[in-house]
Amino acid sequence: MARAWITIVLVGICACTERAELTPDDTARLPATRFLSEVTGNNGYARVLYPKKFQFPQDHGSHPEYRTEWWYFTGNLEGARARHYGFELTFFRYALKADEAEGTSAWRTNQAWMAHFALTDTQGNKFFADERLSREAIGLAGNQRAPFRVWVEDWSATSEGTEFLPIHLKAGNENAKLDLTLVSSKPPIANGDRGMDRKGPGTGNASYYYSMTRLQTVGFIQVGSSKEMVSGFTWMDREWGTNTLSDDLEGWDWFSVQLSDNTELMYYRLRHRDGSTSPYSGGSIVDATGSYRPLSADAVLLTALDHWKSPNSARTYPVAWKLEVPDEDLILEIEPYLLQQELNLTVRYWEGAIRAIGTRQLQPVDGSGYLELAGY
Amino acid sequence: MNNLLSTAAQRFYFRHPWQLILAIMGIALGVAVYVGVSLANDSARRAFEWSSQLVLGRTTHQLVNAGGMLPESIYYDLLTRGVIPNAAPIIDEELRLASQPGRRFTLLGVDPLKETLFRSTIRPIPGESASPTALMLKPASVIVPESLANELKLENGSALNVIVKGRTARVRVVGTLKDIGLDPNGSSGLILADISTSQELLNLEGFISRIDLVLTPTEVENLQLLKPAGTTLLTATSGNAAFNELSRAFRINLTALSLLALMVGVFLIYATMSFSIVQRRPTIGVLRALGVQRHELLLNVLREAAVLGLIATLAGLALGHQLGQGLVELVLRTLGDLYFGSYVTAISPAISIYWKGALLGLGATLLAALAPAMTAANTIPAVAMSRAALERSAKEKSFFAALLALPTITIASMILLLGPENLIIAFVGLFFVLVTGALLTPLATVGLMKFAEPFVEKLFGISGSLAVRGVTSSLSRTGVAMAALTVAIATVIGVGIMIASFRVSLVNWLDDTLIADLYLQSDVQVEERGPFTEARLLAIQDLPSVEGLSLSRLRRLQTPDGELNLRAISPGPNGWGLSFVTGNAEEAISMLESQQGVLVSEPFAFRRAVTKGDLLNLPTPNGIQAFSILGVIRDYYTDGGSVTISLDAYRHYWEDNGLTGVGIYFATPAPNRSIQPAVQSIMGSGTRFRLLSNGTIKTRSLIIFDRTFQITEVLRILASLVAFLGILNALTSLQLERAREIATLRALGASPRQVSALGFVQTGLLGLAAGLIAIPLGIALAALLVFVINERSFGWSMDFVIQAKPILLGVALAVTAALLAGLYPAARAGRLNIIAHLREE
Repeated sequence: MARAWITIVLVGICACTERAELTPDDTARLPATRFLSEVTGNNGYARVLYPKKFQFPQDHGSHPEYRTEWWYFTGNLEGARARHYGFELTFFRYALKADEAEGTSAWRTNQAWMAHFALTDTQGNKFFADERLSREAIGLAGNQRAPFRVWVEDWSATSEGTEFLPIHLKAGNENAKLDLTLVSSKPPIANGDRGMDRKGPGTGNASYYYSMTRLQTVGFIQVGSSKEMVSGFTWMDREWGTNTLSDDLEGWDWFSVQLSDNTELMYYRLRHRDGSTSPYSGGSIVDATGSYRPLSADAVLLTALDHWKSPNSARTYPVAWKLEVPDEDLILEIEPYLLQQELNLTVRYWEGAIRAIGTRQLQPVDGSGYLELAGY
Repeated sequence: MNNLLSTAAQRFYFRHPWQLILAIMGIALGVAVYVGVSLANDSARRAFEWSSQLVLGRTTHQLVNAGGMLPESIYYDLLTRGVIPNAAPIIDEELRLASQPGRRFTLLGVDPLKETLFRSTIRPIPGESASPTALMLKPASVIVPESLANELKLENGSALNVIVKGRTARVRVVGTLKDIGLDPNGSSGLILADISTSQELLNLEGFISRIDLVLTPTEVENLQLLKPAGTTLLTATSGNAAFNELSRAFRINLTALSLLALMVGVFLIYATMSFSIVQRRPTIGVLRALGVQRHELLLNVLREAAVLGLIATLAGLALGHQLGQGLVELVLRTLGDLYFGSYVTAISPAISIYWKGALLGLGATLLAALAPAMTAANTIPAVAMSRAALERSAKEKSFFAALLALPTITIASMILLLGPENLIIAFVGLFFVLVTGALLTPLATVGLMKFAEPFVEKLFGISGSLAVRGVTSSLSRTGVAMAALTVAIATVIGVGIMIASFRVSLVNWLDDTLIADLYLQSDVQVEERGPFTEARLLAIQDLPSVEGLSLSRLRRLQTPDGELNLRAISPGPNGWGLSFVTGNAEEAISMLESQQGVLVSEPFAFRRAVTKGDLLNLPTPNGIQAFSILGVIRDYYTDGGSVTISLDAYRHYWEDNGLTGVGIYFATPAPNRSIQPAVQSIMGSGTRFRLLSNGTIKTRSLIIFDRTFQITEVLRILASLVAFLGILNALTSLQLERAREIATLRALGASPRQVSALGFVQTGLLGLAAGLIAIPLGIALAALLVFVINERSFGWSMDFVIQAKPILLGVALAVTAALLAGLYPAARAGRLNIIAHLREE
């Protein structure tokens, strides 16, 4: 989904090179207005103007002709005795300019990369988050098509063979690590209008967006010195574009849920500065067979049920929700596995593992997923 | 009644406007000196912190290659293997402006994406098109210090011709960097470039200078195990430890001087307040007789002090602010000369200094007023109106003060002899010595006057005798001012002797060590022979009247304990030119020649706490090598500490044939003029080197030395000024108060000239007494500065040379100050209206 704002951070860093400047207030100001609007030199980049038929495995690889792009993995896993873990591993590519940089140094590049890693240890009541930032030079970060590989320094997603799946995810730091293999999946779904996901009224205010909604996952999680075998489901989002967002947006709330009846749901609400919901909000719903359909902005009703104030940033996030899809007769109550799932990185945002309980056509249903709260 | 009291005070000052002005000036100056010096000091400290923050940021460690540059693949390996997550590649190299090759900058090649983690204070001011993005993308783009941009009128997109690695290159400015103050690498500033630009400018593709790291203890352990062979992991702060230590020592020295000024200032305030009370004793006596309560008097005097203190403190703050502006330039320049060889920029100081200054001014005024206020409140009306009672008690007080000197000197000795070897403690001891001197001043004055009376009487007759006795009898009002003057003059003498001693030691050392006639110095850091090729050296050697050459290689060596200067020498025909502090010179030199060890400089020995016989571990390309320390030598150049080794040993262990300097020795004293062009032509015009004569180096060294101590001079002058005001205040009040006495003299037939002369002789005597008492105190102070403070601050020892000049200067200053101060009161005494003053009774 539209996590373009994170890539803004890369621009933000490039624009001010000071962490202190990226205070909560500033990050709220960073998106859209300055960087992703039409004015700030999108010259030379390709734009998302028409729907697209995705070609795999080619489209798993990077599209450097667009300004921003990401590979976004989130998942809910279980270890021994149903110990729950949530993880997030993302790779962002950001082009600093459209054409390639010239020079004899191997460090010359027009591409910068950022990766975020977060691990939620629900029973241990612990949340870990870290990041990596590097340029696409001397092999520090980048994307490789065959076999597929995307990496930033020591964090990576690497396909085992010529096929995209199975793929290995490796990331972490001294305190927490993950080493997972995503084995199989439902086929990818094209979000929005045949893969073109409009996010604003302007020309090119859109992204190419596909998701792999249920990736069977096995592997290891290590917290401190204790290593545990885990299994569960991962969700992968792939998105790229140039001037994706319109400049009147303040943030968004993004939901992905994998339900016990083998269905999935994704919905994002784009918030205007005045608090209203953008008509360009939307999502997708996937049935047990893998067929899917888009959800329009008004197809989903969202009600915040509970808020949490971060002791670190003093920001208040709506962390519990009621999500209703009247057409599906689906009602879900969503709450986080842990309250503290705020990533205190170059940019602060809340993104965490959630559990969902509710009914579909009056039948009980439950599941897990991820919630991203941006621009608070 | 309160109204009456404050009216009385107001009337007093109204009738004595000079007294009011002097009181306010005295307090104001005391506050001003303290605030001014503190501001300058704080500003310098911040400049230091700012710059080291700027260069190091959050860096905890640095990975370097003992042999030179690091292949960039090492960075790639460590990061992609996950050994060290928080790492930044750095290339640093000297850069000069093509237009002004004398100015050195550091070209710092960074990865802007990594800088957020490291140097958060590097904060380019983004212009329209200036950003680190441009830095990363545009070849040859740099970010320059704001001051340089202003100076050279550089805008975004401006081209700038620079010299790097001896080659000229054209770079393009894409932004400015908020000014950085000091750069511990010794340059005039940082010029920031992307790592790619640095590689391209320096032809260093594939290499970086070092890796900056932010490491946890576990990561340090991991890295120690996993780091590639040949690399060394340094603690980032250790390279700067010596630097921090030095700047701290310098700042403590300055603070001590400012506190001294404050001490003199408090003396002055005390003197001022007690005067105005002493002078009004008759009035107070009358008031008491009229039934004014003690506490009313006490409160009233304190209120008066508060009002005076407030006005004066405000004036002092304003004055101090101005003073600070001037001083900070001096302080920073001194720091620049001492440690950086560069100009440094001021940084606005903390507001809290003004508050402290205000508190000190008001507090000191009230405290200083308390004793006189108590005296006023406690006097019995009849006694208060009598003069004799007052002077009698003053004499007793001078004995009492002298008795108090006993415990203070005991404390001082105990602190200095038994206390820990700590700079601040040493200063505390020094202050106690000064306090002792101040306490002894009144009694010493009485003694001196007794001794002087017959001589003065012979010289000036009866008025001389009157003057001498006048000095003793007026001690109640002059005692404190005298003490203040004495302390100030002692400081002038003491610091003067210290500087003179230092200068003499420096000159001796320069004579001992600069034994070649001409020096060739390489302008660039060279790995190979640089400009000093074998052929050129042979050609120089073959010049007529050249007897021989000495060769040297100076390089910075990164060690786990910090950076050090390694100096490898191959001596010329006149020997090694070393000045030994510890160790047998002949024995040590023969060992040095047979490659059996190293010599260390005095500051190095001091800072690392090593001495002759110890082993010193130095990193060589083939691992750590232990060298035995053969002796400690004097070295005033590299205050960070240096290690001297024979060139043969250096070449053996470091496998480096590079040379950075050549000394040329003449067979007979040959005229420089004919040889210099010959050497120039042998060296060629394309290479970068400097040719300096022995004399030029000496002169330059002394110029820098004198500039370094300019700030100290300024503070000495300020201290004298405060003391001058004190004595002026005291004498004016004294003369004003003695109006009736003078009127009596006039009525008895003394001419106005005689009366003026009396005043003059008296003030002259006061000044002379202060000057004479200040001599032993000053010498003691100098000894403390030379043997304790300087050694503990910088690790430099020096010869103690008592020269007549600073002493005579001090005494002359005291007498001049006193005579100048006596000018107005004496003139006034001559013009006195006799009748009016006699009628008072």
